Amino acid sequence: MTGPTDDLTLIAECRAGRTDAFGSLVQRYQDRLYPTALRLTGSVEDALDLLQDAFLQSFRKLNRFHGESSFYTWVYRVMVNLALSERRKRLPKLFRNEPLPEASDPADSSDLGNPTAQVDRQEREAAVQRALGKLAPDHRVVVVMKEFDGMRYEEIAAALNVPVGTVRSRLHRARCELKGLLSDYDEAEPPASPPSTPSNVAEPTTNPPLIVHAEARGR
Amino acid sequence: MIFDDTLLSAHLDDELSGAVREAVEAAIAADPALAERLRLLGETKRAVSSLSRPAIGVDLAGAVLNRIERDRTAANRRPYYWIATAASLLFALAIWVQPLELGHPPKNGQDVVVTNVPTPHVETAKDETVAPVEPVGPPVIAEVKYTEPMPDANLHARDQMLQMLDRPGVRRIVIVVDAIDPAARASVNDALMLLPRKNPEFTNVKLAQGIVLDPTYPGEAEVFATVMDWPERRQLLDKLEDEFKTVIDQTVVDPHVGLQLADMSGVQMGVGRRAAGLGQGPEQEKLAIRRQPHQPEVFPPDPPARVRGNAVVQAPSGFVGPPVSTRTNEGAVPVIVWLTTRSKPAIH
Repeated sequence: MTGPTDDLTLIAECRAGRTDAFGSLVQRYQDRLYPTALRLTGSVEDALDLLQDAFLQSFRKLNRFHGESSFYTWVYRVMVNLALSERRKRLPKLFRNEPLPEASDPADSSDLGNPTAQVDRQEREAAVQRALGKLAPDHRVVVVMKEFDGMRYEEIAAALNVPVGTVRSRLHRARCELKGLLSDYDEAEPPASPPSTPSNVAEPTTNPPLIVHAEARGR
Repeated sequence: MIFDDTLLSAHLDDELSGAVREAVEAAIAADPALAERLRLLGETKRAVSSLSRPAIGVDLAGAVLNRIERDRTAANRRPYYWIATAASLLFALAIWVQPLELGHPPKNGQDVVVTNVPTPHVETAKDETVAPVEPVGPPVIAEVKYTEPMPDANLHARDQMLQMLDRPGVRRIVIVVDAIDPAARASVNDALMLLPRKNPEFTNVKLAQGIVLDPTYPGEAEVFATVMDWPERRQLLDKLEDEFKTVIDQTVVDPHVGLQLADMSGVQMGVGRRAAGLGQGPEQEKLAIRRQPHQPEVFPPDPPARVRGNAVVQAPSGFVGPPVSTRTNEGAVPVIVWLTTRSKPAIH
């Protein structure tokens, strides 16, 4: 992992007119940013476009980068806000239910030699991705930032420039909606492995399918 | 007590502290319904967090630096007003889309179903049928003539085409240059030829006289055809944008024009039907392409590539472009997608 000092050095070189240095920054962070872009947009090409636009905008606004956060965090914020921008929201092509490339992360290794499990996993991924695509953009972004990238509420709020309470409510509504969207799939395909839960949550003895049901908010 | 359900999410994320956390824990312990809701939220959370993190597969640095350089060059140019009668460029991107029914490859004159539903892996894995791939092909002179007014745009077809446009992988690209200004046409040609592509050959197609691709800009047209992957397509669009200072909009393929292009590509455009594998349901209006009953005899077709299950398609003899994978939805049937660029060349 390259440290922030190196990033700052490269940024200083960019400001001095050596744009090649920015290429090094792109190469350094494109791999980390791409999966998030992919989950935000739902298509490979939109993800590549989004990522490219994010890097370009970052370069154009490089003078506004003062090092309060890491360069990665800065570009990440640019990217998620670009994904939410009005211009992109108007694009009809944003978020298609198209097949994404097959997973290439280490989690796949468990499926080696088990084609059925691999297919199940891919179908499950496709179902989740389709469900993500049906969320409102501001909900989708919060879900991806929280669940996929593991960010804290405060970090999400800072990146999106919204109150923490807004993050919390958007996230909860998005989860409820996702729960409903995934219910059909889960009724047909119950999870193969028991999910882990936080230490402070009692593990249920049964694993019923995800079913959307309206609960009274008060009791 | 009125329980705010958002607290459940916050609790799940370990974002509560102090008295609130204790109160929520107590409420959950006392109410099985709350505990169940928390469990379901946890499953949803894990569904997203367990999504894979695919590798990017391309190096964006070069493309980003090129854009930066173009920005810089553009900033140095003196702003100028556009010429009203500038050239227009029509880009038709013909995508290779694999029909769901691999077991029933298209035959001459038969409808081919084109759908944006992902091909089930199980279905393709067990399918051993060989489907032909549209040849990249030498030029074919279009003989289609028509005098009827062009019908209105079909927005539904447009949406479908846009969906197909962004599928990953190699696409068949048909670029129609309908430019009044010969210099603009030459510039397009130069832009195409300067692309650092693996397959350096564009097929140059001359449209027959009398064919008007765009009634607003009647004139001769040149057509180029090739195959490209995403970075190449991006480079091409960047280069043309830079060259002509254009705003590229995706627009509707006029059915008549589509037919002409289809003729040139040895395919026809028609209405798709619902794939049998999708089960019962209403027929869908799809923009589909089917093979022409008769291939023009003037230009012999390239040897067809072959699709076998999930295997990588073998390229036709002499073709050195990137391979076509059925897993990324390329296949036997090209679908024409149309981009229109109103080119307004800058005067330096």
